[in-house]
Amino acid sequence: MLRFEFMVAWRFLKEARSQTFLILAGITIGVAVQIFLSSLIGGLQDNLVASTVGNSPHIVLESFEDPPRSILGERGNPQTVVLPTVRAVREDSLLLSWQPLQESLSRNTELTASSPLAQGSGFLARGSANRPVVVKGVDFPQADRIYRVTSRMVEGEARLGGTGILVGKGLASDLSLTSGDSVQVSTADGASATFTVNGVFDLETQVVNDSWVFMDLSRAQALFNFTGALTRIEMQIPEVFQSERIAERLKREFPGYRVETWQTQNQQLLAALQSQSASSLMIQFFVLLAVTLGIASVLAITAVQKSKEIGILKAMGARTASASRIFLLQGAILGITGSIMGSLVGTGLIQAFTLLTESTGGALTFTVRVDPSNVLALVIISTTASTFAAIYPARKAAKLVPIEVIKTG
Amino acid sequence: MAMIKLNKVNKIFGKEVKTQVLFDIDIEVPQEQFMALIGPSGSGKSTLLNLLGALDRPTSGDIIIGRQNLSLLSENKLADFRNRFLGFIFQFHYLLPEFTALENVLMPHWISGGGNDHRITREAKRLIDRVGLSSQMHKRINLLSGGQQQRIAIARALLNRPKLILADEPTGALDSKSGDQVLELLQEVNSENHTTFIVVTHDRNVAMRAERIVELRDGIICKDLKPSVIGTERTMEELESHECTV
Repeated sequence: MLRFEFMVAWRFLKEARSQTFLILAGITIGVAVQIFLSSLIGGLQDNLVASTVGNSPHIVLESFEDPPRSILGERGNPQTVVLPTVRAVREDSLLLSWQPLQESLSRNTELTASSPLAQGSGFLARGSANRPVVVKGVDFPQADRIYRVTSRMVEGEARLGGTGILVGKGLASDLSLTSGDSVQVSTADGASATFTVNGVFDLETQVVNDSWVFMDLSRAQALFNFTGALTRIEMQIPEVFQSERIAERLKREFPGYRVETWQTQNQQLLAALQSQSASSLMIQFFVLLAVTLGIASVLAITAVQKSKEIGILKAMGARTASASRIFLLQGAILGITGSIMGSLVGTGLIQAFTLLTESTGGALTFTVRVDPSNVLALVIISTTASTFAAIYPARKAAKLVPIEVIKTG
Repeated sequence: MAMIKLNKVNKIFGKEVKTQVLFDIDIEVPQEQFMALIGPSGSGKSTLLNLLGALDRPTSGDIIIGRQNLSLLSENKLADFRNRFLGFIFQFHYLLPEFTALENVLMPHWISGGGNDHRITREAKRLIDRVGLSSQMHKRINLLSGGQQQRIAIARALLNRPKLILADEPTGALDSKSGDQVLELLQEVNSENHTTFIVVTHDRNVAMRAERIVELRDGIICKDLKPSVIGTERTMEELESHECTV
């Protein structure tokens, strides 16, 4: 059906070499820029999300923070009111009987880790020097799946248990700590205990490296007087943007608890990512528009140049729609060829860019990857756009009256 | 039987400034006739040829070609009609420079939706051979001389075995030797294939070789002569005079 039109379209393009080359170059550059840009921004965003989420759990499960009860509770004795009530409020914000929860979460196949955490703030002292720290009491094998401490050790051994603790790189250098050193950890309540530094980690975030201390869960519970309770359970999932969906399911499964995702903690980052995506899309749209207009104008010129041929084809019985299709097909052929070439060039550019930054010593702090589905989408969009660009010349060809071109021949 | 029958055909160009180019043309052309259409420029002969070629529609009147009333056909049906029923040969051969000689000859077949079957390719090659250009078959059109191009255009016009061939100054752009060859070829095709020919020309020598000469003047048929019946001399005299005899 389209055989004849395709043949003519193909031959027109093949013979108008320099024009065809220019349009193809235009589409190629356009698509290459789009792929380069979207991959770069995509890589940057992935990296931002990864570094944000890398040191924090994707989903956390906590107890609801009940409003404080009336100080004059049912116990009614004013002398004993204050202390137990304050304690009760604090206990309410902790997870009390968490073992069944943890058990059920650890069986959940959607989660890659579920790690009980007893967290509190305190001071770590070595000799007379001391620094404020965040103490993370964890079940180390589970926590390691979230924080990947083992693979990011700079010194010593990634091991907790007993009085062993792990400290961050910043804190270690600040207090000249190395493994085997004894330190004193004290809490705001005045409790304190002696621990041994087992190793030093580098989680690639300064605040974390300066203040975090990992210790065994039961030690932390004892230190903060949690009496077996937890601050929260932290969870990790394979695909970070699935968090809301999984969190919804957990909320239904554990209605008595508060379930939060990393997004709740990072609204600002998400807004930044969104506006970055929007501006990237905007640039891509205008690149596409410029390319499309270019194709339209070159094909319109072709339609004028080829009017004699179109006229003669019509005189020989080519229908109006057929004449239009010749130009639409030219647009489609240009679009698909140009965008495939553009995809290759764009991917090549990314490779070159990565190599270049590596060779000049400024290795990228993030990986740029070309997303195949994005490339496919671009090829489809560009091909559609160039076919649309051919509508104007196609209409010109359709309107062409054969006798007029034959007469003026 | 009449191949062509025109009934009170008028053609008016323009919307605000109206110019009537053809006035109540009545003419019949029998099958197999080789007719020359002559007339000074502006006489309306090209307009008439375009109407006959289903490239344009009359303002009023009927054109019947081979039992088909053209005014009853839609644009698409007219296009199909041109493809199957008519062959065109123009002054400027109008071949497609992007294609080879053989491909140009095959073009009408491709337009009608046909593929590359052997039968039609053999037929195209036979026609190219018939016009004496077998050796040039696979050459790009613009590598051929004007006369050769016109002969390829004739081969193309013959491919779909049309009943009617319309030629507009087929020798106009050629030197007299190639012009003669082309004209001979047309006449041979006329007698071999029983194809009706209408040739527009202002070359009196070309006209004199036709079976019938029709002269248009100011949009009306002014003379209708048959050289074979009234003799060459008489025909020449008639053509010289400015009196209309129809």
